[in-house]
Amino acid sequence: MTYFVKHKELESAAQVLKDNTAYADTTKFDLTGISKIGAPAAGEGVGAELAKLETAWLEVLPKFTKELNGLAAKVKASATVYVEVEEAVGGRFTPFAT
Amino acid sequence: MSRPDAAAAYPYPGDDPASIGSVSETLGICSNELTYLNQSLTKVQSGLSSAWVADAATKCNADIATLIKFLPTGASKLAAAGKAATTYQTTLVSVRREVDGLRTQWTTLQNKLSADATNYTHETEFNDTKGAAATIQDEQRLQSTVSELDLEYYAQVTKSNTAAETCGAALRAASGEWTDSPTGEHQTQSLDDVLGLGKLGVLHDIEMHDLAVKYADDLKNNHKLDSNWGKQAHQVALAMAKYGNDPAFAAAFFAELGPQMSQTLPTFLSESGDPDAYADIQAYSKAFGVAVTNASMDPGMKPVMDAYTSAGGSDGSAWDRGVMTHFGTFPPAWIAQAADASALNGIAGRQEGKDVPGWYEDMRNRMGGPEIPGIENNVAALWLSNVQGSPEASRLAIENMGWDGEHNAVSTNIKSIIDYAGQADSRDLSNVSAYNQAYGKVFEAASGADNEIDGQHSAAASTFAAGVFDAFGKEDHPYTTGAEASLAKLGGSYVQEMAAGVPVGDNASDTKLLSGEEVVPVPGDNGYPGQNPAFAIPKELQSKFMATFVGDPNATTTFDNAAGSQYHDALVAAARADGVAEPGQNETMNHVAKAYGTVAGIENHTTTEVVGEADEAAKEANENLKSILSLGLDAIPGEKIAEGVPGIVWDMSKHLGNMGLESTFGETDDPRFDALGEKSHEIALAQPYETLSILHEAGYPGTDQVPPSLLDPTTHELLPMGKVLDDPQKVTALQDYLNYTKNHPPANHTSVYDKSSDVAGNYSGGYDGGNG
Repeated sequence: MTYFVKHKELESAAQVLKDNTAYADTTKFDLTGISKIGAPAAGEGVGAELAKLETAWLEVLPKFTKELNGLAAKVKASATVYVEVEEAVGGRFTPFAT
Repeated sequence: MSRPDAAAAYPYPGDDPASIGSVSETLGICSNELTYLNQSLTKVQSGLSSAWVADAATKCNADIATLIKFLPTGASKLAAAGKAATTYQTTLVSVRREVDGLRTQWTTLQNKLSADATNYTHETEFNDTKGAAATIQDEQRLQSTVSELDLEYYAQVTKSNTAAETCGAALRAASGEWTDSPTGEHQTQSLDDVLGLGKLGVLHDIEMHDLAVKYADDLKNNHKLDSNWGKQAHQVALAMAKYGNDPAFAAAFFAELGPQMSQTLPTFLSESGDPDAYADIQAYSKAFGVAVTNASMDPGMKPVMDAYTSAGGSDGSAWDRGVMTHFGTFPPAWIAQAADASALNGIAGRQEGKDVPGWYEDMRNRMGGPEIPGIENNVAALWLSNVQGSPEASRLAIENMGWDGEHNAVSTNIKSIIDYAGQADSRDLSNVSAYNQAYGKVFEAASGADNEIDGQHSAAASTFAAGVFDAFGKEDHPYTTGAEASLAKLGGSYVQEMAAGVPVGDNASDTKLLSGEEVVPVPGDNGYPGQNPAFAIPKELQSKFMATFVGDPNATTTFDNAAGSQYHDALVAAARADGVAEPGQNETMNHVAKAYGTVAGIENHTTTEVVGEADEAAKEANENLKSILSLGLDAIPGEKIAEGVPGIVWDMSKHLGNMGLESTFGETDDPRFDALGEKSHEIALAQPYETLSILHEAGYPGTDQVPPSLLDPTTHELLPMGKVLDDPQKVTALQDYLNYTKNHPPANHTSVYDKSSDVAGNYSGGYDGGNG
């Protein structure tokens, strides 16, 4: 009997995922404006690379945080569905991992 | 001429160091944050793993792993880029310092050139040719120096550019990591698959339930009992084998199947001509065990279970129910109740002359009903076999059986079971033998003969055993063929109780012990050291009980092995007590020997009665001995005989008694020797040698002087008897030792020689008393 789920722990895992998403979104992770830091005089050099890095960061991080968010939502949904099923069958099933 | 600005002549190459410092700091911060994010998400993964155990979760975690895979590498690339930026910044700072120096030198040079220009004008005006020439020379020199400065400046520019390129490359590497990161759409899809509801664990039970219901309905709703039904039942049996261990499946299946068919499946399988009926019903029965054990999973199980425990009305299904409960594992209390309802209550009722319905006849002779080859037809035997696997179920079934809710003493019920065999139709003796064998095993289990130790019986087991002995006490030559092996095993588990029940010492004249036909409490001073009998079995009762198995050599061997083992242990404990006792208080070994000798004598007497004439008994005894001799005395170890071949010593003791040590070394007229020829001296030596080994094992005073040549050099135990007898020197050493102890007894103790003699004598006396 290895299929059971501790739904409360699923819920807390979902919350942690969500917290990490918020964390990823904060300005601590902010590489935006980094290209402006480099001296314009550098031209093709460091400044240009900084601009590319900034673009890449701006593309990837939002996707990453969005998918973390999605994952958190799905894990949370599993826990919710589980609770509903348990209620529907009148607590007949024992919802804990063996 | 206006002097150009030094800064304009030598501008700072590359980026602003302070800005690059900021870049470095920012990259370092982001690197750390990525590392922290990775740690945090890794913890989430392990939390999910422990909370969510399923194939789905494994996949989900794998996807999280992929999603965050770039984090550690991304973090380290950003860190590397940050470091490169720091290096770049350091370079820029040193370049600017150099350029500052160059600017200062350049300014000095420019000032000098200005001065020269002024001088030249003046010299030309005043036709100072010499002076003018010198000035031009100086100007040239200065210009050359400026060119050198220029070269140095360009070197700094190159240095700065190189550092810029290195930093740029590191940044490029870092941004390249991002574009490779696995955040594509396909990840999300697999998460969708993975988190799909069908894989959620809790719904596994619903799945199992629905599947079970489908199978049960297939069987139930197919009303025609023909070969198609048989084929379908076979298919469903295959499903039982696959899913039957799952509580949700099993409970739902039988709940849906309902009370009726949950009983009659065996008959249906047989009638429908299922060629795999035996294997199939085995699968159904095992699943039924799971269902009953987990009945709380489905309220529909209650009527099914009630149908088993309250069988009543017109009921031809006792056999079916017995088959359904034959292979699975069931809660002891429930199976006991079901056995009573289907079979044992009827036996109780019949014995009491109650009006028991005709269908109970089914129990004894099940002629002409549906059969499944390989499964017992006798209903009572079948149900007894269903409870015998559990001591608790065995006890409950017998204790609680009673017609119409009556409660009987357990010995009454046991007697009813025994007597029922005697009523068997003579046509059907084979069934009776199976029936006897079945109840024998139930009594054996219930008495703790399988799972407990003599002298350490639980109250429940010893109470039941007392009931068994009491029941046989009321019997007069009951027909017990088939039950011998179990009854011998039961008896062998209560040998201490037999030794406690024979009159020895102060109890010698206790008539209760001599003629009682029920077990009695252990007499006050019959507490031999190390023994803990639960009750005492009087002489007559022992004989009645032993009569059930002494006619069977295998059963007898079972009993003899157990008895020999108990006797040995009792003697060792007694020897220890005697070894430290005060003079006049050191008779324990003698009492123990007498008690156990009496039991052996009772057994011999009973054998003579059961087997027939004394001649026959003696013939049998000699045959037994011959087979022991053919084993060779090497088979008898020096010490711990009870662990090795206890039955041999008990047997020899039983049939020969003591020959006396003198006869070991000389001629004798004892006719018992004649049948044995040359081996007679060796046989004579066996019992006293064993007594010596017991004394040695117990550390009795004087045994420390046993010659080393008689001891095993490693274990320091007495050598096996055969090794001593094969070596004339060892025989002499033994003889010398025994004579020595005879003439030099230890202070306040009986000598080893006399002890041996006394034990043998007491054993012999007891034996004759029991045999008479």
